[in-house]
Amino acid sequence: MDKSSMELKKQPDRSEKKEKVTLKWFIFLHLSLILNSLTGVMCKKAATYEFKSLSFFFYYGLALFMMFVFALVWQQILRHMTLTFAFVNKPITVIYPLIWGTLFFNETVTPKMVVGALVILVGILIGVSGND
Amino acid sequence: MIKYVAVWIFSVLIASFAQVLLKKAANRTYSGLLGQYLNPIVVVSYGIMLVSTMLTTFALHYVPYSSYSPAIESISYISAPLFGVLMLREKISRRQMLGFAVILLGIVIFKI
Repeated sequence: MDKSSMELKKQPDRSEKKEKVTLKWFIFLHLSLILNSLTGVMCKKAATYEFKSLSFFFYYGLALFMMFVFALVWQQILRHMTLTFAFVNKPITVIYPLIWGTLFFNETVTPKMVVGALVILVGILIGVSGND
Repeated sequence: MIKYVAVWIFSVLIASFAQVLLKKAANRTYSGLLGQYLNPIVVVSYGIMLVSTMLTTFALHYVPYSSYSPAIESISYISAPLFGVLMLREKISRRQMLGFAVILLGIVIFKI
């Protein structure tokens, strides 16, 4: 496949104006960010097993697979919103490990973490409301 | 140690640059779904991300993770949108800037 047939034309103004984000792509963005945060869970799960054991490879392989799926979905997401808007939402991945850690690994959540998570959420809401 | 902190920061910055390249590729129209992924821009972007993870791993041999990661990893929340504005001419509203500032404050509270 040569370059000219693969790359038909550049959409001239797409990156220069605000891209309106539909609810569908907003939901896709957050599903992909959940998936992205779950790769950390799989890596942590893999780390609990002996290196080179079957369980280790299962969870590590699952993490790699999830990263691959995330990369595929992320490219589609970037077609439907600006990088700025996507990155206003991305810090939610700081909060998800808090939830996964509590649910799957019985990790302790400190009040400082909860306050920080709430402040991050407020920041995301402010940022999201600043978009069309 | 400053040298390795600089390597880590550089790895975060090139990963943000890779995100700009991915967005540049996303702004283009390709023939078929495969073309959206198997094009030079996307391949180079993921190549840069691979280098970024290698540099991060290298830096982490010398820099303590827990005390530096909150500050260094948060750089991407500024650098990626900044690169987006500078290189993609994306618009950023005052409210979005305020949102980023509050997010950074939250990360500081959360991790430090």
